[in-house]
Amino acid sequence: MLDPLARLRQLAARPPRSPFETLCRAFFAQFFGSESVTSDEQMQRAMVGVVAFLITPALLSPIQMASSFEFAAIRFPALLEPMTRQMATVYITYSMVGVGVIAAVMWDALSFDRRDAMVLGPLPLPPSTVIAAKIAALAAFLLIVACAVNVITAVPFSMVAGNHKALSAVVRHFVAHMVATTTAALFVFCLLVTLRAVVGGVSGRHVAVASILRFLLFSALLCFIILLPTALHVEPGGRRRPTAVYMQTIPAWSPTNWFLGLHEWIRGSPGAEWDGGARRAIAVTLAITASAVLTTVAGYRRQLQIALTPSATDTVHGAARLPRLIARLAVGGNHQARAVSDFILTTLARSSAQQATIAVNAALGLTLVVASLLRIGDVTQLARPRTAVLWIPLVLVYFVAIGLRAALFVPSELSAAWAFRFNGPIRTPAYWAATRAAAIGFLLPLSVVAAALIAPAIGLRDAARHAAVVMSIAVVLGEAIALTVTFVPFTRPYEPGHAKLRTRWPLYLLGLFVFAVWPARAALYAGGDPGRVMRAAGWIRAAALVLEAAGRIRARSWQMDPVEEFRDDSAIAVLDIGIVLPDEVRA
Amino acid sequence: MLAVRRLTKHYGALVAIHDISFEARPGEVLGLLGPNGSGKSTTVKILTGLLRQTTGAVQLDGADAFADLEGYKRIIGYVPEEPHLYSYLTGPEYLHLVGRLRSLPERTLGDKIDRFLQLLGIYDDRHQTLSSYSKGMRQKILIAASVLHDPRIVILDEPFSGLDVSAARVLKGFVRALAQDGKIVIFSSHVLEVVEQVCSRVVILKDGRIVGHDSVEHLRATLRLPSLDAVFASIVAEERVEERTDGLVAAMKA
Repeated sequence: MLDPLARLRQLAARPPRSPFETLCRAFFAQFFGSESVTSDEQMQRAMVGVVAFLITPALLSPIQMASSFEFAAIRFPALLEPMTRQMATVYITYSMVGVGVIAAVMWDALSFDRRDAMVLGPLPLPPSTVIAAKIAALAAFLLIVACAVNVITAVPFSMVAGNHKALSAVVRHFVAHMVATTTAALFVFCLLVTLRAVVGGVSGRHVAVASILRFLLFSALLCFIILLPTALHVEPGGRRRPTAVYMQTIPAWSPTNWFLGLHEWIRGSPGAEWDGGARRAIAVTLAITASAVLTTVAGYRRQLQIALTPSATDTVHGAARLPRLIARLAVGGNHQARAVSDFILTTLARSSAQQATIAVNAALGLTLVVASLLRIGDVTQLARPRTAVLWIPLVLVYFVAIGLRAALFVPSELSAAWAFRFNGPIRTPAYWAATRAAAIGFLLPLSVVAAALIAPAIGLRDAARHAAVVMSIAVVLGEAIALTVTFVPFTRPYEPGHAKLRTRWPLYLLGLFVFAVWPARAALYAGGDPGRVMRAAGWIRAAALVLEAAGRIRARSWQMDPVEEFRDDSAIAVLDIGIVLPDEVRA
Repeated sequence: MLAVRRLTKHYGALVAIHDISFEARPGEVLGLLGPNGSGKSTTVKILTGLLRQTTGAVQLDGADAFADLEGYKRIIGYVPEEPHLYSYLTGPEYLHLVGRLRSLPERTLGDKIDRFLQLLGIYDDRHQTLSSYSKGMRQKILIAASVLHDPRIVILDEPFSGLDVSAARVLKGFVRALAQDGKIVIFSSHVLEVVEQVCSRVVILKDGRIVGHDSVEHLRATLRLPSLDAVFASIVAEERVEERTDGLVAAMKA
C-alpha cells in the first residue's frame, strides 16, 4: 500500500497517455521555467524563496491574532462576530494578494505566446486540445497555489473562530474560509489571465504591463504584511482607561467585501447584505472566469495569426527615448559609450527579467513610504514640507536605484554577448561612461515623476524645488552604481547571491540614510534660504564629483572578456547521429 | 596575408585541432571544409580572436596577429555559424550597436545601414524586433554587421544558412566581389556546391587535422574526380554510408 505522496510521485513519473496530457504537463512545466535563470536549481531556489516569503505572514498572523481574539472573545463577546469577519477579510485579502503575486511572477506563462503557436501550430492537433490543455494546466496551477496559500490560514482560523462553539462550527468555518478565499484567488487569477491574453494579443506592451502589475502586487503584498498587525489589535486597559479593541475599517467599495459576503453566507450569518455580497462574488467570479477562458481561446488564434503574419507596426514598444537622450548628452561624442548606453536602456525597457528586478525593489521602497505615513496617522500633517513627506521621492528613487544595479547583473541573452566581445574594444573607459550615463538617464525622469507625487501635498513650487534635490541625488546614485559594476551589463552569467543581502543589509540601510533621510532633512533645513540651498547643492555636487573621479579611476579596470574559454559544442551534430545507432538497428 | 602556423587547440583531454597550418591570401576566397566535429568552427573562432589557441600562431603579414588583438579585430568581419542576436533589438538597432562599438562615423552610419537593409531586402522589416525575423533575415543582419566597417579580412561560417535562392545568389557574387576587392576571405561551409562555386582554394579538415589543401581544380585533377563533392567523399572517406542509411530507415520504421 503506497502512501499518498508516493502515489502522487508515481503518477507524475508515469508517461503521458494522450496528447492532451502531454501538452498539459508541458504547459504546467512552463510555470516553473525561466529564461533569466541559468539552471533549474537556481529556479527552484527562487521559487522556494517566493513561497517562504508568502507563507511566513500566513503562519504568523493567526498566532498574532489568536491572543487578541481570545482576549476580546472573553471580555467582549459582542465583538466575536465582527472580529471573525475582520479575520476573514484579512485572509481573503491575503489570498487575493498572494495568488496575484504568484500569477504576476508567472506572467509569461499565463497565456499563449507566439512561440507556442509556432511550435504547436504545425502539429496534427486540434486547437481545442491545445486550448483545453492550457486551461487545464492553468486550473491545476491555481488549485495548487490557492490550496497551499489558503489551507495554512484556514486551519488555525477555523480553530480560533470556532473555539467556543461546537465541532460542526469549526468545520463550517473551515469550509467557509476555503471557499471564500479560493473564490477570491480565482477572481484575481482569472483577471490576470484575461489581462495577459488581451495585452499579449493587441499590444506589444505586455512586458511593461507585467512589470507594473508586479510592482503593484508586490507593493500590495508588502503593505498587507505591514498593515497586518493593525487589522485587529487589543490595547489592554488600566486603572485610568478601559481596554480597547481596534479594527481596521474596510472601505465599502473593496472587492474583499463581496467574498466576505460569500464567507458569511456559507457560515450561516444572518443578514441580507451577506446574501447580496455572496451573489455578487459568485457572479463576478463566474464572469471573469468565462472571460479568462474566452480570451485564452482568442489568444491562441491571435498568436497563430501573429506567428504567420507579423504585424506591421511602425514603432517598437519600449524605446526609452528620454532616458536615451539624457544618456547621449552624458556620454557626449563617444560612439562606443553611446552604443553601450543605448543597449543598456533598450534592454531595461524591453526585458522582463530586468524590469521585474527593479519592480520588486521599487515595491520595497513604496512599502517603506506607506509604513512611514502610517506612523504619522493624521493626514493633515502631510500638507507641509517635513522629512516624512520630502523623503518619499528620495526613498523611491533610492530603491529603484538598488533594483537598477541588481538588474545590471542579471544576464540578457548571453549567447548574443559575442557581439561585444567581437566588435567592441576589450578595455575601454567607454563601458563605465555608458553605464553611468544609462543609470543617470534611467533615474532622472523617474526622480521628476517621484517628486511630482508629493506636489498635491506640499504645493507645486515646493515640489519643483524638491525635484532639483531628488534629481541631484539621482545623479549621485547613478555615479555610485557605475562605480560598483566593472563589465558591460547583462553580458555575464548571474552569480547567485551577489547582492549578499544577509551580510550587507547595514550597507543598504546606511544608503537609505545617505540618499534619502539626510538629503530630506537637508532640504527641509535649507527651506527657501538661497545660501543654505547653495551650500546643500554644493555638497551634493561635491559628492557626485568625488564618485565620478573614483569611477574614472575604476574605469581603467573595466574590460570585456576577450575570449570564450569553453568547449565549443553548441552546434548540434545532426549528421553524426549514425554513431549512436544501436547494434540491433545496424544489424 | 593571414597565416595559420601549427595551430593546436585542446579542450581538456579532447584535441579539437592538431597542428594545422595554412595561408589565406588577399584576393582569394579560402574554403574551410570538413564534417561535423572536424575542427572548422574552432579554427574559425581562433581566427576571429574569440578563442585562444593552445599552441601555434596566427600571423598577419608575418607578425603575430594577436599581439594587438584589438587592432586585429578592427580589421576583421565575422559571420558566426549560429545567428545569436539580441532578439529584442530591431535590425537597425543591432547594426547601430555594432557600428558604434566599432566607432564608425555617426554621420554616415545611418545611411549605410539603410542601404544595407534595402539591398538585402529587409528594409520594410526595420521596425520589427529580431525575434520576429526568420533565420534568413537574421543571417542577412549578421552579414551586414560583418562588413559594415569595410574589413580587410572577412570570415564567414555557414553564411548562406537559411537564405533563399535569390539572396544566396546575390551573396555568392558579393563574396567573390570581396575577394576581387583585395580582401582576405575565409569561407567555412558544409555546402560543397557553394564552396566549389565561390572558393579558389580549400582546406579540408577531418578529426582536427588537415587532410587536403589545394585549389579546387588541382584537387579534382589530381584525384581525377568530377566534382568537389566526390573529392570530399574520397578524402574524408565517409565510411559505411549505406549501412548508416539503412540503419536510419530501420530506426524510422521501428
